[in-house]
Amino acid sequence: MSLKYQTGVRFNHHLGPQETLSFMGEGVGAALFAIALFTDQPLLAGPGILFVIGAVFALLGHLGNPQRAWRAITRIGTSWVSRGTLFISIFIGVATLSLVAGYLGMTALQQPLAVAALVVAVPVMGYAGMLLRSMRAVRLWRGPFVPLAFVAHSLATALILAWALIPLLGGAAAWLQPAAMVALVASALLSVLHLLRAERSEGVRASFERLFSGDLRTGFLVGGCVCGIVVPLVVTAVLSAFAGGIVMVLMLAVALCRLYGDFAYRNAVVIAGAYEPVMPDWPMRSSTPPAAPVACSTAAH
Amino acid sequence: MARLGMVIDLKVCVGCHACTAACKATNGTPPDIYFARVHEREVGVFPNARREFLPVLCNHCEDPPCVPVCPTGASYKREDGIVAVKSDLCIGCRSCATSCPYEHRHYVKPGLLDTGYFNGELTLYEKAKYSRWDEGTVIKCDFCMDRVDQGLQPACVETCPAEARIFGDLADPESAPSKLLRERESFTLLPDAGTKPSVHYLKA
Repeated sequence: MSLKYQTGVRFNHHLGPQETLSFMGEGVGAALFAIALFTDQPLLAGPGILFVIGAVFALLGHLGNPQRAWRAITRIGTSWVSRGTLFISIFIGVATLSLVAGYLGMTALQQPLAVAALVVAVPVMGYAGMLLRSMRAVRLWRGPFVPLAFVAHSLATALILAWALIPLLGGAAAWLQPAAMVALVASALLSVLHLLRAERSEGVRASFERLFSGDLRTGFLVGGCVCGIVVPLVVTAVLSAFAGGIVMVLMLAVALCRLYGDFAYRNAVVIAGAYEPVMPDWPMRSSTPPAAPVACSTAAH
Repeated sequence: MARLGMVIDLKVCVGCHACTAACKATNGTPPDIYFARVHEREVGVFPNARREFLPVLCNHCEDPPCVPVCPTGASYKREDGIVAVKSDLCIGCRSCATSCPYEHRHYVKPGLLDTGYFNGELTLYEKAKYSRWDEGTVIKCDFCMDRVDQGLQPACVETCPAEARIFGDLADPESAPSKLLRERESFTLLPDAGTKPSVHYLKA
């Protein structure tokens, strides 16, 4: 068995597509539920809750011991995993109860439950970004822009989904189209700000290299930027002037494009997270410095 | 209050990996999991070239980023500064592993404990040693706390043929590591991370 230690920049290998899918499902589901309330479309609220439940299953699949998952709620004071577990549990419970109450015609009960679910939906949207931000070792995820960008992306995806699905449900909400465009622009701006304001450490430089010229380039630039932002933004703007069956199909195609783009963006940011090299970049010997600086920063035994 | 820590003298470390082997033998870590490793690199150009060794292990940080992120309290810090994991509480979320800047937390993948080193059934040694670990949990160096509680030194310290590792109470100014830290130039790994490691390195 080989014994290899990487001493240079090392990339995050604990979080991957499955966890990203979970982060996205929670955010988009909670946002979709909130939009369903504002557009008075209870048929959209159901898929919103299902998105969050699906995300929970994805997260359970990530755990080494899912049978102990209930313990994850015991460190709310310090752990964002604990906080997320609490918010998501409350959200699923309260949102489902509000739907049931609405179905049974218990409006006096349904309204406060819906408001409570709406309040909890906000931290559910922000949880994944805060979780990444709390991982101090990965400098790409530090700073306020990751949580903000993740919330904006969740809102943008949910607005595009609602914009595409509401006409199919026989409803209409004229504000969805401009709101979706604003959310898309906001998520693009916040993502750019996140990258611009990231520390310029060796680890972050390696992350940028992977995102812009390495193996994540296609996913990040084509998936996250083009499919996630440019295409939905352009098509949403153009389609608002037209109507008809083909438009409906195009709207659904844009929604799928946006779903993929949202995933691609988050996945690239999660996978590109890197740890700083542990070995000092200066010679560890105080006397007789070598003629040249450190020749290589990685070594294998 | 005690703060157990270690000083590693890079001047005398010969890069023999005895610490790695002793740790492996004592803790019986599953395949591909090493609590004590030795990084090495080549520095300079011929004829002024040399190899540098950096033995690494969990830094048992004063401000460990792995402890607050744990959602169950499985990761904890003892009164004496040792950072450890209660396996029976760990849900295997790997938050601690993701948040450790030194990557000294190791996830025991499901099925890993059935994988011996000899391509078949586990040896008696592996069966006995692996019974300590739970699959789907995160494990780490605990400064051999069972040995420390008995008044012994961690296995890597005891085995080092060059006596490059000095273990003791960093809070006690009269302890051997404290004296060395006063007398010699030292550094810790990734000081920018703000974790305040309890493992210090004396410059060669």
